Amino acid sequence: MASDVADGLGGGWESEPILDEDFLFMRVHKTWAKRDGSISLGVFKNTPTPQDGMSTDWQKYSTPEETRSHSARKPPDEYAVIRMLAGKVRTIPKQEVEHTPLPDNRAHTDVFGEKDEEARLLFGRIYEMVIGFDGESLAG
Amino acid sequence: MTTLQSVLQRWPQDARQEDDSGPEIEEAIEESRSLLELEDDWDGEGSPGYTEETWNRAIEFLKDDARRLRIILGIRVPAPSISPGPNGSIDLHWKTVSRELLINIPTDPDQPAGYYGDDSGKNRIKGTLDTSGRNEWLLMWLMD
Repeated sequence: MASDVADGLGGGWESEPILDEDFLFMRVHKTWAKRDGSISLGVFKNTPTPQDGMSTDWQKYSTPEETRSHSARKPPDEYAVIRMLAGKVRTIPKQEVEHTPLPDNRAHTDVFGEKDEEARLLFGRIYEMVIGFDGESLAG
Repeated sequence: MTTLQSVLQRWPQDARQEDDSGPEIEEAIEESRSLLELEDDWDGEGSPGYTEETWNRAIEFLKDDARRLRIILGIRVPAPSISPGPNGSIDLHWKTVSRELLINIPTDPDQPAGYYGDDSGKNRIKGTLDTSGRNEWLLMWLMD
């Protein structure tokens, strides 16, 4: 079966390797915004449980705008979007990047690993804002 | 020679008579009250709201240790960012010219707080602490 076709038997998309130079997009609700324009480090967490991963979208199959619109419960204009290089994520202790496509989101990627204070502080150093809280596109 | 430890040990355990954590910290504390207004699923990703108990624990920890540092050594600690943490916890986050420190106050009052700090170089600290004890040494590290 061609790799660009979902498994019609209910298995979903195949997982693929993500290169260090690829970006991961992540939406950030406006309440995580700080006064100085940065984002609170609490946004870097595993959901729904600490044993799960931190959900992101792989740039190969998503755009920042698509990532922004993926929330099921809040409108897109309540979110900013950040990006992180997969390679930089992998330099953070205990973090692993794994493409975990969902039937309705081929780009879905989990960042597994405990999000303790060290990890969250280091995440805070590697992200770039792509869509601001005001909806403005930022990074090139 | 008077060691830092002997200076700190002379400080009485109850240091609540003077409210001298500083106007910047007091202002940050006041602004952080808005965290208590967040309801469950406030971010659309399932994040719970924040309890007054957790917030009080964070604030008392901050005020007590900042006050002690101010009175004992005359060091005024800058205000941290008092921010929403993961899963109902509260973060205290400082970023100075040379160092960065993150302290997380968990929702379970019986659990210790976690912390990590570094200077983006060779100096780093990491661990857990009892917020009901004396922890001004951590703020001293930040101000070094």
